[in-house]
Amino acid sequence: MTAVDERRTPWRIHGMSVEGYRHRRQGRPCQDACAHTVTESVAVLAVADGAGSRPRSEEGSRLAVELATEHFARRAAAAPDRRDGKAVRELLRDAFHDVREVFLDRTGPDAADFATTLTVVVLARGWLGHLSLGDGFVVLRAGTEDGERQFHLLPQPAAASEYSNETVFLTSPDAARWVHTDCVSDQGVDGVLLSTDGLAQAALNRSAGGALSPNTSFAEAVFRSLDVPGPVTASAHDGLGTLLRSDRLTALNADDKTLLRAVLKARP
Amino acid sequence: MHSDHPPTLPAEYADIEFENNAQRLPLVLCLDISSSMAGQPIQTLNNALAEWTRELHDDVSLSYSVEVAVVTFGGQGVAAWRGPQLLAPGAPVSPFVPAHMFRPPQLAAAGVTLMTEALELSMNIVAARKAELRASGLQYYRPQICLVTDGLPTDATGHLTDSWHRLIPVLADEQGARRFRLYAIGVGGITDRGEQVLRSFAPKFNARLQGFPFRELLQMMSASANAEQKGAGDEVFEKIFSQFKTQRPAWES
Repeated sequence: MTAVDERRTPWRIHGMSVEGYRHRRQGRPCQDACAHTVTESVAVLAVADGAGSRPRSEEGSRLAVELATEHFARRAAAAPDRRDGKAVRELLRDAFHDVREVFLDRTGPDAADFATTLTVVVLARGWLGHLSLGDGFVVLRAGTEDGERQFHLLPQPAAASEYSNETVFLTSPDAARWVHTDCVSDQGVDGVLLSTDGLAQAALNRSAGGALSPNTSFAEAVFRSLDVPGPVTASAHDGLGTLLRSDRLTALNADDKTLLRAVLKARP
Repeated sequence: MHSDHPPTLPAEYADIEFENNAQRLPLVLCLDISSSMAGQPIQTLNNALAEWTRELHDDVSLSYSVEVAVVTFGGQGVAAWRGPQLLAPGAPVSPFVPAHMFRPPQLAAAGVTLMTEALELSMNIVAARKAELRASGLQYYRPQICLVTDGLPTDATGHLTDSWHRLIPVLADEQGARRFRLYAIGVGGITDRGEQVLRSFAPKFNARLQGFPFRELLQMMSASANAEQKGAGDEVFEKIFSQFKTQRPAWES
């Protein structure tokens, strides 16, 4: 499996991680990371959030997304036409197992210092696979109702604790138990957005009962700016950075922020 | 708000609508305003509260996340304040105010030291606030309660009492279950016995400080709030606290 020219994938993919207000004030690096890769048959997108309390978590999040794009793409390329949900979820778990094994091997006895969450989406022909460990989240754009584009939050793993800043990491001993997987085989999906929890308050709304749903105005705006045909311009790139660093988003959450998005290029 | 961040959204994102659903961090200041605090100490406390409020307003990340409630024990017995406003006992109003809207009360020193009852009220308002936040679907960090006193617990007639013993198992359970972090700080001329009481309330986070360093104390609470937002481990809180105890600035951590 080798990565191919992005012009050959039906998806336009763009995103970034930016340091949050607190890290900026303390002169600390961004502990979020994101990466993507495209092959002949699939595109893989990954985001990770290094644990704020761990000394080398910025390396951990980078290593996690790098390994995830490589291993998920390899597993998926070997079975691109798999459509059965159960088989896809197995494939995702196998790829996760590969990633975790290499991650623990590379980080050695100090693995816990590299603690990070991981959220991965595999875009294949006819199916979309989603695997998440920790508090990252994924929003899909699919379908239209009364002329309005519809957005869907994929189910997330169960919360690990009463407090929102506590979660499960790739290095947690029982990580595999907390992994959540999904297979979506809706041909109408034409937009995918992955994020770490730094954007949870901006990108998601909560009902009184605590149920989460996409903030439609946020999803619309971040997909719309990537729907513009052709390569992503420098000014579009800077615009997203300015959004992610804005006071408006910082007031909601001062953590690092990551937004990785993909839209289907207009069909000819 | 002061920050290095762009205050406005780029034009292409200007139509995004945000709900105010920042994760909340309830913070209770449980303050001794009994008669022994009269004079310079209460003035120092009022000044420190005013200055801390300005700093909170200027902190982009804390100002929308921290929610401040003030509980006092002294002249009015045990009382909860919603910002500058003294709440009637049992008033169906939450004493918590978002930090960006918080204004400090003007405190006057008088009366007795109903420390046990004040801590019980603090725990009750934290539990009630958590329930409210859950009911409105808002997430929260582990709350912080900061007890500050220069004396020993008394009853309503001003006589020393052992009623505080009833709190010890309750506080141990609550802290063990990570329902909140309790800081118990002795100031002024607090005695050895007073210090023992604080140690039994908050075995990890207790201190006996010279004078009335309320500024540093409130800055330490902000530093802890920051650490909480960051998801820091217990060792970070202990480090912040030990630096504070040696009266080095908390923000050095």
